[in-house]
Amino acid sequence: MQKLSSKLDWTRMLGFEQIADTRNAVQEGAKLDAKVGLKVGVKLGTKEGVKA
Amino acid sequence: MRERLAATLDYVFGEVGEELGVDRAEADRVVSEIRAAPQSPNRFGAYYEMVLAVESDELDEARALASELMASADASGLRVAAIEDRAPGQAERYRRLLISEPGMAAQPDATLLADTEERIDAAFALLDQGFPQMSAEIRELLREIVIAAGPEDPKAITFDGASSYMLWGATLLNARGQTNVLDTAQALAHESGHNLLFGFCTSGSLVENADEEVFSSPLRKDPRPMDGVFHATYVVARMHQTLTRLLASGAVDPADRERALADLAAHQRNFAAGDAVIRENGRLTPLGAEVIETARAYMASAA
Repeated sequence: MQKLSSKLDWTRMLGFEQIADTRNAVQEGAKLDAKVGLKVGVKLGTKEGVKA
Repeated sequence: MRERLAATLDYVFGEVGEELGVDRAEADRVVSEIRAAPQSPNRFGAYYEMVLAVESDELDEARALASELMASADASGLRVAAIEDRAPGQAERYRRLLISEPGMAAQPDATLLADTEERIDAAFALLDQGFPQMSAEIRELLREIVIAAGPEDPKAITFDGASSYMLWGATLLNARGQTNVLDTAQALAHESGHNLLFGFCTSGSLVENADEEVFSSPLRKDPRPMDGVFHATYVVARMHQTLTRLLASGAVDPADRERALADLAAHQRNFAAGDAVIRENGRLTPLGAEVIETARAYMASAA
């Protein structure tokens, strides 16, 4: 049975680059939630940034 | 962004709507609805999660998300609400898509929430008075300001604000991230700037650098991809412009003036640092070059 994903031309879709990034990340074994955030979330502090 | 979402859903439901359990007439209704009016960030988030489920061939999950996409949601006006103050499942989605460590965005208690809402109202009032064009633009760009409480532990990793391409129109503010109205006004200019840049990117990127290439960023201690450096540099100029206009208008409380001037100087330095990284290492698309030139022109005029 043909996979659903193979029926779509991903380059026609909104955010296909972000989707591809996420797919690649998952294939690399990254944690999906973290990678989605890292790829597309621009998480900036107004002055101090990420504090450790 | 809305037009692209509408066209994409039209295409996706045309190709695989039946498998997703979406009736063609219902799909047409939703596509028309998206074209006609601003949409909730949640609808963008549901779209991305649906296509990611399709990508992974998780059909049941994709069907559930397609069904969620069919449900209408009021997105008129700008909604300010706590992270948990939304339909079941949405808070988890917002955390998932906005921040890399979902646990760091907790529901604020009633007092913290009320204080933050009051500060956001005051920040808009300040912008209305001193830089009404920015206030109007923020209201146009953002559909939701989501309030969460970051960790209290001073050693914990935290955030001040967050925005995501996948939740277009939403911005997350840490109720513990800003403590005064001027900072909140700057945070709104900052985070809405990310949403503006996301809106520019509906058909491509601002930069061509690979995400694996990382550089020093003016607003983060950790090295960032060029896209992050670009965003940071652009929003720094936007914060500089906001503060400059507020100061020139006389809207800034005299007691805050010294701090505002210190922030302005920091923005000047941070822009110069970020722009130097972009000039040296950035491979910008024509769109990216055009966008950063507007920021450079502003900063040069303000010097």
